[in-house]
Amino acid sequence: MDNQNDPPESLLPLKRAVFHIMLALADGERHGYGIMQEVLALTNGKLRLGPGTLYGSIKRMLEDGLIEESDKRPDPEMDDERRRYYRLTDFGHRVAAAEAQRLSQLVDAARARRLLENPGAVT
Amino acid sequence: MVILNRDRLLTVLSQSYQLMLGAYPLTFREQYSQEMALYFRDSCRDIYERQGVRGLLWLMFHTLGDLIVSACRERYRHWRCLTGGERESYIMNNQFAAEHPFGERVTQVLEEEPAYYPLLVSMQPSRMVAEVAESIALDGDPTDPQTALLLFQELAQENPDGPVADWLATLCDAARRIYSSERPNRSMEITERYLYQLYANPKLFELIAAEEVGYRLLNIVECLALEGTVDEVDEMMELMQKLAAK
Repeated sequence: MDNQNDPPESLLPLKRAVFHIMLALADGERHGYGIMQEVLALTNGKLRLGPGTLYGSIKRMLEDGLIEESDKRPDPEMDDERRRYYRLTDFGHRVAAAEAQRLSQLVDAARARRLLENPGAVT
Repeated sequence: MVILNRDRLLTVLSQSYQLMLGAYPLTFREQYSQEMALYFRDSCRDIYERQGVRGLLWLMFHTLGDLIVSACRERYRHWRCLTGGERESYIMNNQFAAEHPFGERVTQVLEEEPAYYPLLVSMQPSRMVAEVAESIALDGDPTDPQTALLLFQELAQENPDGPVADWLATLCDAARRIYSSERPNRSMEITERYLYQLYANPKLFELIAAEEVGYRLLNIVECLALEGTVDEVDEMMELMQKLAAK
């Protein structure tokens, strides 16, 4: 099930929940609830991942080698030891970057067709 | 008084959610139910602090919808896994199980009792049943079944009661049988390298198996290993790949 040897593009496009989880983990390890809070913040509160969706995605991402469990516990004294922390693997980083690139190209195409304003444009 | 009511409400909701987690397949529950319950509890606390009972009601509906959809999805995946839908690509694992009694037994037992799979693979997350059976057989059985036996005995000590212990006892018996009947391989390193190469390229195995009808994979690999040296493995593999291409 591990796809580490596949090119990152082979997993694209990523599902919405998966890409948001990867974005949340891009700057360090988090536990499940931390991931959900980060996704909420990233989407201005528009996307709240339910526990089933989150852990189902985590299961699949572990199987695909996109994320791995982390032994690090940022604040062990304040933390519940039943929580597991997750982080992106190198392969996960590559896949997330490829997906970001894909989305960026789409945004550029939308901008070229005037569906989107240019950044910084004065209206 | 208000704090007491809030705590009681959150406790009731958390307990209800834990009961509802029964909708997920057992293997999924064993891996994630504890974390999911914590996640739900924290969500309830958070939303109650910010939005009160109204927010809590919204969260319950949202979580219920999420539970129905994701539990159906996990059940479907579990069913596909049990019926072999996700194992179609594991030709060599099935071939190995067919060729090797211990690997077959491990696969069979794990499939009969999928609940014990997480127990066995706690050291190897993200592995399929057949893959675990294969790695146990490769790591422990053909050249050193005592390693597998020790692993099972250790797990049995940690789980002295119930069906887990029975299942581990079955595996211990299988390992003991192999251990008493097979001698350590004389050229383990080269054999292992051949095995892994053969698993990486099913066509090679088919080619060799066609030439050596009636032999087990391990026998064939042993013959190859005894005839060559470690340095010759890659050369031999190149030669076989050329043959396979023809």
